[in-house]
Amino acid sequence: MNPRVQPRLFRPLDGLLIALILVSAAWTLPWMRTAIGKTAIVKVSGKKVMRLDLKGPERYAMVMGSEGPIDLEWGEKGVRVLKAPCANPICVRTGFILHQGNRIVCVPSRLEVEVVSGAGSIASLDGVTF
Amino acid sequence: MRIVLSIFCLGAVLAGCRSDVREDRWLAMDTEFSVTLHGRGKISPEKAFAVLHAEASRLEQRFSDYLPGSDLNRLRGEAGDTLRPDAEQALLFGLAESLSLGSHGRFDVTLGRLKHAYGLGSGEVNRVPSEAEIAHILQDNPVFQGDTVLVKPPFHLLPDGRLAILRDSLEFDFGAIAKGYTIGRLSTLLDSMGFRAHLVSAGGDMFCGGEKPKGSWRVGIRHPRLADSVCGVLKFDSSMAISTSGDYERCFFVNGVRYHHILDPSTGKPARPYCAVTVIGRGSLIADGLSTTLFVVGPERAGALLKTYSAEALWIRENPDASLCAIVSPGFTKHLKSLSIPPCKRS
Repeated sequence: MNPRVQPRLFRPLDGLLIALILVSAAWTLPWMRTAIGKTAIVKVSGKKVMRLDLKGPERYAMVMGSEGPIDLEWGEKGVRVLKAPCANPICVRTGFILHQGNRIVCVPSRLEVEVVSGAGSIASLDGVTF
Repeated sequence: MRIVLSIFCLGAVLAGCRSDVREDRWLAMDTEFSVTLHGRGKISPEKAFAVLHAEASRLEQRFSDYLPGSDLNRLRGEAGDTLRPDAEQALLFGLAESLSLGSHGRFDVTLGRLKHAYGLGSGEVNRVPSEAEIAHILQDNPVFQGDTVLVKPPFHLLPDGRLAILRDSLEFDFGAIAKGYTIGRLSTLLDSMGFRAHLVSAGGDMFCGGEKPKGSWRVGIRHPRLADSVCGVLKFDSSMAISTSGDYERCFFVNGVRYHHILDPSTGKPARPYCAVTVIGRGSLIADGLSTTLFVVGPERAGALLKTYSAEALWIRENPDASLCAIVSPGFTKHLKSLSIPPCKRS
């Protein structure tokens, strides 16, 4: 009786496949990190009212929420709500947000601020007219 | 298992394949040109870029006002003379005359002396001319008589293509239209070389050619007072020319007052109160000329010009308290995806 031939666990080509997988995985790692956003979108009642460029010196603006004026500050540190006409201003206590996907929501004022991947930032544009 | 792994790897590799985008930048006409190609053409991108460099260089030699031997500088005559420009020059003179007539003299390609008085020419030292000096220069300009602006430009393109000179010692300055014409020429060449989807830019004026293979063309509008920021984003699904004229380009300050290169022919001074005008239209030559014209004309009297040239515009005004506000023509909003400058209050 012939001895039973055990299948080999690895063959030479498998090494190449594994290497390819590892390289692919390493390549996609930077995409999986939560990157610093370059732009923040400000919406009131679901309507976009401002697009803030998160670079350069601090800047300030006021947007009109449904309960009254809301003061915003933005710059390299991110964007934050400085002052809001809410009894319990959670949005103010949130402080700065800077990373893609971070959000500040002020329900009474129907305000949303979201840091996005840079859509609208100079880097994501085909060109800038000046 | 091996098949699954193979498919996974192939997918990972294919996902990494980036679209065929090539870019080139170079200096010409005293500004930076850039060209972005999406997809492939009939020849290699390198050969295409070489063709574009040569064409930009040819047109610089033709239309430059700062190259002493340029074709434009050789086109001189005295009142009563008729010159014979070639077809390319005639096209630009025709538009210059048309914009001058359409804007009642607010667009003028013969303001060379005034520009030099401010030291705004290439390599010149900036200065503020005296009121008397400005008045003297304008006095020599027969387009203006006191407060009345005559509509007749100091030259006229005759039906047979000859150029009638109506004033002595005219200095032509095609700075407001030569870039636009060049962008259009480069775009036409790219089309002929098979690069249908392309973006040609020169000093902030640009032409988005064809349809982008993925997504839409997205063009930012520079914030007039924050150099590295955009104040708005435009989106186009097909070809469009975009041109901006701003008081932040070629400007200087004296005692806190900004002096810039867009001069109002009726006053001889930098045009105010608008600090930036962006025009979108089908052709880069017209968009370029219109952005300068509309900067001086303002939105109140722009309706006929916009209609004539099928263009749309955005004006950004600087108020006395240094705040900014925006005025947008109706068709412009269709392409405007965002604008962080509030609308101007109606006066």
